[in-house]
Amino acid sequence: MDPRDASAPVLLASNLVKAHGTGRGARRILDGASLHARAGELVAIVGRSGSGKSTLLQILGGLDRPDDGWVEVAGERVTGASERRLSALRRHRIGFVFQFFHLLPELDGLANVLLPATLPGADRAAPARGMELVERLGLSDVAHLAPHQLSGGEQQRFALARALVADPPLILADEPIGNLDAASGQTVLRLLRDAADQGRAVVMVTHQAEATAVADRVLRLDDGRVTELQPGGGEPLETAHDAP
Amino acid sequence: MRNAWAGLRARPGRAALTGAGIAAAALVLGVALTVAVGLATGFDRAATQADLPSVVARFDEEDPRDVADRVRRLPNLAAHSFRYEVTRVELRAGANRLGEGVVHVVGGGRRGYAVVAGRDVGDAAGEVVIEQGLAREWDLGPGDTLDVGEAGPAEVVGVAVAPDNVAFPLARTARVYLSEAGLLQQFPEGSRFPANLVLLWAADEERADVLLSFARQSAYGLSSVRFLTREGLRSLVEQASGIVVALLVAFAIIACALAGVLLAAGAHSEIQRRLAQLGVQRALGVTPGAVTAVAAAQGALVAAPAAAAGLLVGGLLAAGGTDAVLAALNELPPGPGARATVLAGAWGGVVALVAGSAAWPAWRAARRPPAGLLRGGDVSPPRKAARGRGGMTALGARLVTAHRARYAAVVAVLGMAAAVVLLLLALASLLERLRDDPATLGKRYSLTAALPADRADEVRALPGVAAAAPRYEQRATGASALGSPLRVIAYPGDHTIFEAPALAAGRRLAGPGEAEVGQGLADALGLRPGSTLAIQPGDGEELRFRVVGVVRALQDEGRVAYVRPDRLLAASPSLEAPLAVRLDDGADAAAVRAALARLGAEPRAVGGATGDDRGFLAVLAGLLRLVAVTVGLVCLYALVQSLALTVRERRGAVAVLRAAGADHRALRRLLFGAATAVVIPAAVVAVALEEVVLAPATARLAAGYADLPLGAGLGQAVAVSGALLGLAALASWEMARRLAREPVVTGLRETGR
Repeated sequence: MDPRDASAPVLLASNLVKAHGTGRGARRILDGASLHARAGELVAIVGRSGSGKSTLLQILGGLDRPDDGWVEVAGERVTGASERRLSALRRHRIGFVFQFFHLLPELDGLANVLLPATLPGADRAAPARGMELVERLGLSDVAHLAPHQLSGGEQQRFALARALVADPPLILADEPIGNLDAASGQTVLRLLRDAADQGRAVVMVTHQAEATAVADRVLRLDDGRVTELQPGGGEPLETAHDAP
Repeated sequence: MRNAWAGLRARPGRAALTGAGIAAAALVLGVALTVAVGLATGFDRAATQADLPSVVARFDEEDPRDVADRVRRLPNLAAHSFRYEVTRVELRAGANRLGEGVVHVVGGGRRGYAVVAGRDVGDAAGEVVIEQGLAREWDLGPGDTLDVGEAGPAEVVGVAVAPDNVAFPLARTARVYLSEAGLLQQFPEGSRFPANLVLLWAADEERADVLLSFARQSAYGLSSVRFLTREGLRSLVEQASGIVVALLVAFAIIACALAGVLLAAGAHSEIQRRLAQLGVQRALGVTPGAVTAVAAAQGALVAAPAAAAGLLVGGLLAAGGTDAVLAALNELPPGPGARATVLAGAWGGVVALVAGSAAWPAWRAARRPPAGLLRGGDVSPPRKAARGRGGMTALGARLVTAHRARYAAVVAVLGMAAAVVLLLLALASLLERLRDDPATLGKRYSLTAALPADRADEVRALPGVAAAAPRYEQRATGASALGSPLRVIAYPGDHTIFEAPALAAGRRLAGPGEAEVGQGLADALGLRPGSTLAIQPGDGEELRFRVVGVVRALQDEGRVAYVRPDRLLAASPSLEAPLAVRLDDGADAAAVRAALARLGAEPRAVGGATGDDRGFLAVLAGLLRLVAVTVGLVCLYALVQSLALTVRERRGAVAVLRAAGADHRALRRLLFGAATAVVIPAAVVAVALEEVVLAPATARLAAGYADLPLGAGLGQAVAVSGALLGLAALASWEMARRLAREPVVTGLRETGR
């Protein structure tokens, strides 16, 4: 399957179940959540605090395993895959953007961007792509500064460049503007939008209205299930798992 | 305490990991302390328990009544007892037989030996007490029967230890004790036995030299008088275990330093991780003192059982080997109470160290403003960020060096541990050379032939023989310091053809009346070129030589003297000398031996100083191996702990790498980079430390009288460095395996909080 084929979903998740805790203290965070994201589409997932948005994103990216249900990325099954296969999947198919940036303090901005390119089995074109991304994202002047010398917006742009360096078909962003001021947040949202417009599927967890404004679709996670909202936040139009 | 307990129960895995680390450090400490304390105190313990006399005087047979009057008049004398010593007695028990038995006929008075099994000999005939070495070697005990030369079969009634000599078979002779009363019943024709030994106990041990001095003056008229003091005995016996004790003391210090550094580092890392939690506690009004007390109590709660287990296991592991060495030296092991006291003290120290290591960073953190604590803590940003070249391996090195002080401490500790391993290897190869290679002792001859001196020309004429000459050897004591035993070696011509220990001062001897003395003897008797060496050979009168040179001889702890044989032969005309045979370079030793055998000689290969002590060397080597393995485990533990701490602190960084697609191979490279960043400088530190500090210090401590080649060779340095890299690979493989099993989100969540 061509991951950039706009008709085919890059991400497919069905009936995901995840419980935290055991025994009487167990709580179902996800209870049959399903969703999809196509190439070129930016999907925002909203929900109240503690509703399991981050857990859902981590399961979609193979960082955590669901108790039930399945996930496919670019036609490849994530759930049930070995740790080795999951690593390869994350290396080539998925880019992550975190709320707290997670740049390594020992490395400068550029080195953080190029970090995935140094992994065994990385794409050979990744270093050149990383340099190009740093330039395109307007980070050339601060490329050799340490993370603690950068502003929050700059750090998140470096983190976004790091997520894009392997040119993955799927970007998963967890509260990408949660730690940024309004202006920096707008810049990052625009870059995510650009990433989607270039043919990637972007799934973003957020609780901020300005983030949903740039999304093609907005999904709501409530009581462990995903429902799709109309643009503007009206009643759900359809449940995601009914989609192809 | 309740809060501390609750904190530990909330994270049982982490507490177990910390406990395992403490137990490993305590195990090392237990081994080191058990061996070091046991060996360092063995002689004193045995001497006290055996009631070892202050001075032993030997002389030719005399009627004890004739000597008793002189002895009673000695000043500072508390007690005395006479002995009659008979050598070369045949001992037999079952299939075992020994022609070198030594019988001591004991009368009344103090004994000078400790009965460790059974009882002492009584007045009844047919009873014998045997030395512990013989009992162990021949598997004898009270109730068994031993044939004692002409005295015939006797019932073994007790087993004794006397630390005035090493034990059989380390000593070629085995000593047994018979009672005079029992022998007189058996052989009623005599009224009493003569004496050739008197044991003197000083009233004030500090002033035993006064007793010795007057004893020497009173000995006029007695023939072949030789004295041996308790201090002389101690110096002889302790030389044997000196190197091991010195090594183990160094090792114990390293073990303590290692435990301290790693435990403190672990505690610091744990506090760093919990900074935000501490901030909440402080914001709620918990005092810094209370925070510190909880941290200290948690440390103590984890350390108490872990340290007890580690020390106990270490003590038990080392006890067997230590007891074997002590038994070979005719010394006594510490009792269970003494060992328990030492280990209990160490236990208290470890618990206090852990509690203190946990409390100190908690105290420092809790005194910071709560707002700062609430922001949490991560590794301080580096002064200059790196460009990221070198891939995962270089990144691993950067992660582990982020904490510079701790990195330096881990490198230093690992370097020290590896330096001890290098020293052990160097020591092991030295022991092998001492055992097998006579050249180590400065000996240039490799065979001896039991032929009279006048057949030396025949031997010289054999193909492959470079030189042959009679080698005279006699045991003696220093006449001016009567407690000092020495070995006199004599060749008719230039002795350096056959034995050439390095000359430290003066010149080589050139004729009769001149002597080269070993540094050990020179130190003991205050000799230097120009001094006079006065000796009393075993059965002759006093001989005097002018010291012309001092040599760094290893044999007999440097208590040797090289002379020409003239005066020795004048004093002891019956002195026998085998021929020392030096071979041509590249000569076929087997062919020469065969030729010597055809001449009717009994050719014997020359070993080192310890040629007859293979059993003891095996025990010693076993003990050293145990220590080496433990040190190796320490290195592995230090590496794993260092990596674990790095991984624990940099969980977020590792999680991000995994989220970016780092698989177990990448993690292994990352951790191997971190481990090699520690082991490569540690190997450099180890080689430098061994070469510059440990080897010279140990050589001085163990054998200040000789050049002890304890420096590690290139091969050993490469082997230890390779082993360290192997340990690094093993530690990183294990850590990567553990890390890959952990969900990625755990690290992300922890960092994100």
